[in-house]
Amino acid sequence: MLRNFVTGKFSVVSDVDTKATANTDDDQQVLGLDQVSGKNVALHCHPQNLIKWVAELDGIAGSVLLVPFDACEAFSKRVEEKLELDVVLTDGMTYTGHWTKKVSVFKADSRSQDAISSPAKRKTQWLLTTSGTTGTPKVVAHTLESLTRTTAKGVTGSQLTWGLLYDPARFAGFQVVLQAMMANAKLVVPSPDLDFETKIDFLVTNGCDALSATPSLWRKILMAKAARQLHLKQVTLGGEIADQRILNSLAKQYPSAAVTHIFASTEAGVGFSVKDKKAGFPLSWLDSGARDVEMRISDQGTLCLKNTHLNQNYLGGGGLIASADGWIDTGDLVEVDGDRVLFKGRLNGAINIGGNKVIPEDVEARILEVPGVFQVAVRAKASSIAGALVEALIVPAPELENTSGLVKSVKQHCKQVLPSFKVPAFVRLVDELPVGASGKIKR
Amino acid sequence: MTDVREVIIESIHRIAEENDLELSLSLNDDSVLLESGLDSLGFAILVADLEGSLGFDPFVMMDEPVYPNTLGEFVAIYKKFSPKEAQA
Repeated sequence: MLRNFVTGKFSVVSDVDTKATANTDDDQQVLGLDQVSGKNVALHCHPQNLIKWVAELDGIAGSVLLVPFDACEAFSKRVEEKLELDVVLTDGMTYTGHWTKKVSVFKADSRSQDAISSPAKRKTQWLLTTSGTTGTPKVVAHTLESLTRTTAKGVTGSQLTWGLLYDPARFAGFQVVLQAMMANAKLVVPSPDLDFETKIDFLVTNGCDALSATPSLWRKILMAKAARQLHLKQVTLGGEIADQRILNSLAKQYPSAAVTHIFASTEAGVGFSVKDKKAGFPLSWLDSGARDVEMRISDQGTLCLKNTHLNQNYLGGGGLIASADGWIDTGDLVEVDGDRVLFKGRLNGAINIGGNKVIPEDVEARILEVPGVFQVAVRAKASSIAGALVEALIVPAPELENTSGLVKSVKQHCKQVLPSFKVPAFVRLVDELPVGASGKIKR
Repeated sequence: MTDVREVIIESIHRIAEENDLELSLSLNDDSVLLESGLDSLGFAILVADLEGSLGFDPFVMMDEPVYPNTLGEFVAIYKKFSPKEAQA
């Protein structure tokens, strides 16, 4: 049970005094651990409390939905439609007015007799949502086992101090939290609403020496003045293709750090890490495999993985289906280049913008809603800063006499109906869409 | 001869306007890019836009890219990698 780790050397440092709950109504119900036993709860609070309460609720609550800090009204509505929540737990430090379900202040008391003496009676389901807080959030159910399958447990070498720049309510952030808990490490958690330089300053002040971020976030970290004062022992990258340049920049900036990039298929619950500071992974792994994982390349050029030591039927709550022999097609295109296998993007053409997934067809459908648009093709434009940016090529309707306002209309409409990272950064009017030899739109 | 600094400043203003971003009042060499009003996406768009107008992207040209903290550092990087400089 997670609570066992919290009583160890694991500690959380934040910039706010989260014991003082702000903005709670006097007549707002206060609930303790006993009252949420077996219940389906949602946690909507400051990250520091979320982390502490996660440890308390494990083994007690039936299910816990982790609510992203920036969740909007549409999110709450959709999630309440999809799930049967019993109660929303808060600390009064974030706005919870959107929920129709009862919002109660949670009072975790780790000294309660019940909490210590009774063994975990249930396997709490952990519900996390995929990126994009507007639109329909996809909820993925996990258990502690599925989430920590590849997490190192116990103290390995000297204790690290992990910085948390991710939202702990999301998969990547939650992984960092669980990793820190299981390694009895210290977790430094700057409040999400601080400005970026201040967050990095906070990490420096609190001796952060381990940090996990997407390659794009790392580029942003390297722009912060305080980043130059971080003495990192562990640099971890994930969520996007780690190109050789960012690996080089990080190795140069943090010469005594171990640099690890992680490939993880979160839906499949399988992944591996690369520690040689080179992009991709060694070609030899296609024969030998990596730790606990076998690999091969499909006929379509996608990477297929198979867990070697675990029950291959376990799906991790996501949508990927293992074939009868346990192989999972990750859908990620790879290419052999000398003695390396390099990642090339998604087979389905999905675009990765700084770790956020954009499906071109979804954006095209929205753009077609704008009057004056005849045809549209959305594709990735390579970006040395964000990995990729969204580009939209538009063929104006033939009857449209004046096309001068069309680009602006398209951008404005997209801003209203899509999260910011899906809004095309570049919109160009063209006479016809680029079409490849097969007649399909060339992305 | 293109003044790299002028092109950059013009680009920043245009991108801020096109993407409804509010820039901080004055942009000078000491302006911290992360606090200028240009968010992460805006900065990525700026670099892509400058590749279009200047013809190069220094963050692709460097093997170990350094990422600028201030506008001054940003301009210096572009001046350094500007093809015209290479000819001088």
